[in-house]
Amino acid sequence: MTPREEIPVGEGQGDRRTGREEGAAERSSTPGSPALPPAEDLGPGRAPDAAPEPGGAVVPAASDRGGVPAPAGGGEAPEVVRDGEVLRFSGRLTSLTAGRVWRPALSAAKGARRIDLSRLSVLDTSGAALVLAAAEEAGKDVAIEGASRPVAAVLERSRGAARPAPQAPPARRLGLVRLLGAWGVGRMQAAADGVAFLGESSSTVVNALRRPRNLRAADVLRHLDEVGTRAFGLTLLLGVLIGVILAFQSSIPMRQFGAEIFIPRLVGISLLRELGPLLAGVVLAGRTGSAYAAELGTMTVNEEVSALRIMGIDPMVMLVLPRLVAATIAMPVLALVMDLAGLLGMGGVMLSLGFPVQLVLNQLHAGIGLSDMLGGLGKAAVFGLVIAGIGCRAGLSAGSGPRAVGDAATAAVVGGIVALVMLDGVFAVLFFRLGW
Amino acid sequence: MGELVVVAPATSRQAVPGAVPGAVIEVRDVAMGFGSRVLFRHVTFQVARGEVFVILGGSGCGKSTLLKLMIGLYEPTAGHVTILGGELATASGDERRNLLRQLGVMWQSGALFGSMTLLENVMLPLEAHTDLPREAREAVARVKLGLVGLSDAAGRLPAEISGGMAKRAGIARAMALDPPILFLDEPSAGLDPVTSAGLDQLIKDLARDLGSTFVVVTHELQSILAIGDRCIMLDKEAQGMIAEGDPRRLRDDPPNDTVRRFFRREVA
Repeated sequence: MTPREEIPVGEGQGDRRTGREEGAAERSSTPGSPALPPAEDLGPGRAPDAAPEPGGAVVPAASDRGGVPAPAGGGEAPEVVRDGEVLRFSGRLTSLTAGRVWRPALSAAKGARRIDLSRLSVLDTSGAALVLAAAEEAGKDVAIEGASRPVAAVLERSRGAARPAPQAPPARRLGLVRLLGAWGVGRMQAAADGVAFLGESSSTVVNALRRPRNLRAADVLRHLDEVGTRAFGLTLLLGVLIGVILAFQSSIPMRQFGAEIFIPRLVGISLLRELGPLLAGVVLAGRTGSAYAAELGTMTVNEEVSALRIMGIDPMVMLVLPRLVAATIAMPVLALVMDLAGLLGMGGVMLSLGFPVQLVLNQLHAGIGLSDMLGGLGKAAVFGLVIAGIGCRAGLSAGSGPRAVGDAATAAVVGGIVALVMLDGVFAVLFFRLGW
Repeated sequence: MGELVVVAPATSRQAVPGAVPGAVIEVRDVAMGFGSRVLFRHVTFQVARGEVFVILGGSGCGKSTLLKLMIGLYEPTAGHVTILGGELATASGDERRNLLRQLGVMWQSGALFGSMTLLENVMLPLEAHTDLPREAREAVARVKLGLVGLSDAAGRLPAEISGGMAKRAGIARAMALDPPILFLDEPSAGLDPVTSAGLDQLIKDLARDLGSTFVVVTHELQSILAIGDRCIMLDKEAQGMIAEGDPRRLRDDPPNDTVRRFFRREVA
């Protein structure tokens, strides 16, 4: 006979009350088979000496405990003992206690011929999962015995539910060529979708120009407020800071050549032609592009966009057009605010360096012209149109589920900023060729 | 001159007349409202261990709000809700955590986490509250999914399953820790009759085999009659409870016109 092997588990010794015989008359034993008789075979209802512990834990009748609900996880610690061919469970085997004995029980189960549950005082479906896993580990000839009627009912119910994890199908081995091909097809599909959206939105804008009544003025005003008015504070702050930074940074090398007087020209041209529109675009992409994507993405996930289509209302007209118009109008204003704030910041630095206001103004007047400002504002309008379009497209092409909205917002910000820089490059080449 | 009579305020621990033996939930003189709008008041009932208790009523009468009061998401404007001897509204720290561990909730929408598979959804409470090793959590979660008939869908994402499957997965997650009490919010809403009947059967089976106490919010007549051991009925007009008892008896012998109209689906 195999020597008795006791597996120490838990912090206590568990309930060793051998005299505890709840359900003793109703112990079931099925030697030779791991199967228990179905709970129904044991008769309807619950064992008279055991009240069902909610959630499947089976405990002695409430009267035995003074009517106090048994704690879900406390009390007797579970214990697993391998005694020769018998694997014996005792104590409370619940979701909160099974973790302590899970691995030792499975190790001890190997080669067992019988699993004895007669000392099990509490069993819930998590504990039943352990008993069933141990039975599987022991092999098909193992007999589960000694279960009281309520324990057997929980075990039977769980056994019907337990199925081995399905074997994962072998992962499809994608060769490098196939991976590249799949990536290329995905990109081409996305590009085609983008072109379709571009065409659809262009057609919507042209139709709106022909029939201005299609444009929902109230929506445009609402979006103008959101895109423009509410972004003023942030734009002012960034503008002043950029002006200060540019002036200070440029003063160091300029001083070496005694050319500090030209700082207003340098900062003025940088801001009006380049940095004003670019930074306003970054603000728009981060603040508004993501908001558009999240708002339209949520509507797409909630099938509101589908509902619009079914009602015969073009989402491009109702949802996209007002946003495009608002962003196209607001963006030059934001760029102008950024320009002016930057110049103010630069002026402050020049004053701190000892240059009088009139001198700074004269330098600005001499160094920058109206064309610099108009070129920058024109760029800004295009940036606004493109960033809003990218945000709307990201929202309308959102997938399903809660992640779709986050993905759409991310795509809007990343796409918006990349498009912004690329467009800026195109404008730089264009202005150079045109000699502006 | 009349003399001043000092009346001791009611407390949650006072015995309720006609108390249900073995009550695991006690709702005592609870009132709830939002702003100046009173939803219900003087709501008092008890739920016994192991019964399927149904909260029913028409739309907007406060059924789901009462459920949220019971699970401690809302605090009542008056009265007490006691669950397994503790009061969630006032409990804090470990006491609150222990009480919450005794509850499982299936939300009306399922409220499954979209980025996780059904198996991972069910494993989540086990990870948070138990020391089960990963393979054990997975085995336990598979049993729970099997209990609700979703063994084959364990690896699917919530977006890939039907509404009925999402409800069943919600029940599986609610049962993850084998809580003594399960709250189900509109389990049959939006389901076809066959799926709905299957879900009703599942609730009855789980209550019978696992001894769980179920508190079910619904207004589906067939479900109420199929699963309910006892019920209360809330009414928007009356701003409170208008009936309590065995739903079949309420159907056969309605105590008032509102209950009669509800069970006979009559227009007011």
